Amino acid sequence: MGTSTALVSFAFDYYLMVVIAAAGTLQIASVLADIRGLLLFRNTVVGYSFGISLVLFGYLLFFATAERNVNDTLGGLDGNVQFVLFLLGAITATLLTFVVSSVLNRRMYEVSNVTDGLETLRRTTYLKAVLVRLRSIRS
Amino acid sequence: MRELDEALFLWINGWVGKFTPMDEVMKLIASDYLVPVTLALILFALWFAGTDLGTRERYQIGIVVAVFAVALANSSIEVLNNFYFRDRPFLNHEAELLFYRPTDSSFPSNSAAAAFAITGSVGLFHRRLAIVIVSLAALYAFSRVYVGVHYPLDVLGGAVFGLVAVPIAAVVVGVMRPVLLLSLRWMRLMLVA
Repeated sequence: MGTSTALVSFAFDYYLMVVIAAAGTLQIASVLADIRGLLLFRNTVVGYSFGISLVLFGYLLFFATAERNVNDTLGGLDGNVQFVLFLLGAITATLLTFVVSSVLNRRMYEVSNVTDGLETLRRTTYLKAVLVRLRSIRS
Repeated sequence: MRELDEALFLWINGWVGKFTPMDEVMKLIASDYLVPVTLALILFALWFAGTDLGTRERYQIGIVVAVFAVALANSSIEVLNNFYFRDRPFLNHEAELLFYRPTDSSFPSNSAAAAFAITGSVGLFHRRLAIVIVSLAALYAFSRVYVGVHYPLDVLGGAVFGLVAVPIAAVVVGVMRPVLLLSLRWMRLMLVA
């Protein structure tokens, strides 16, 4: 396998780990901050355990599937690439959580005031809050 | 000082091979990915974790300080390494290497600088969490010596670089505060902050 092919494969594995682990981290943070609109499980213990499991699964998928002690000149990732991939992975995980939690929590109450950022997601889902925001912009 | 540093390196690296499970754990901790990703995930969690608007805003500004501090520490090291280069320990000693062979300067350690820059930044706004993170950063720094890629002084120097970068980054972010608050307000409108 050439160095560039190895780099792409390595970068994809890293990105995948970040997406999975960040999705888990977001579940843990949502339980701790009581952001119910982002939770995938109503039971907080289940939500917390699911979050930890996702983080561990992400790590396992990355570290247990190949040798990861690789120099960045031979297919590993340098700090700058890691930073960009982490950012992309975290954004992907956030967007995925917004969509999935909105579908799973579709019966949550629709609020009329969505001016206070993430605080709004304690009471409603992301997609419902966005719809309310769009309606208020139109009117 | 250099002799003491080298002797300490040989003593720590001398543990390699005595207990294989310990070697495997150290290899994993010293990896370029495990601790950096864990620290970044902690910052990511803090973005969402505040229990009220004020706390969350404080955390979010702290995260920006951390990113600036890491960038500042690592760019300072890059500049320093144009003038000063120290060979990796495995080039001059009979070291047991559990890692790949890095070609950049041994002093100061970039990894330690980044880990301690994050630790110091978190310490500015979440003391209890910083105590947990400092243990992780110290273990990371120790593991880099254990696996044979750094002398103890390299990681100590890296830690100093990281910690010194924090107040400087805090001042820079303080100057940018109005712009930052405006960005956070915009992000709150998008329901992501």
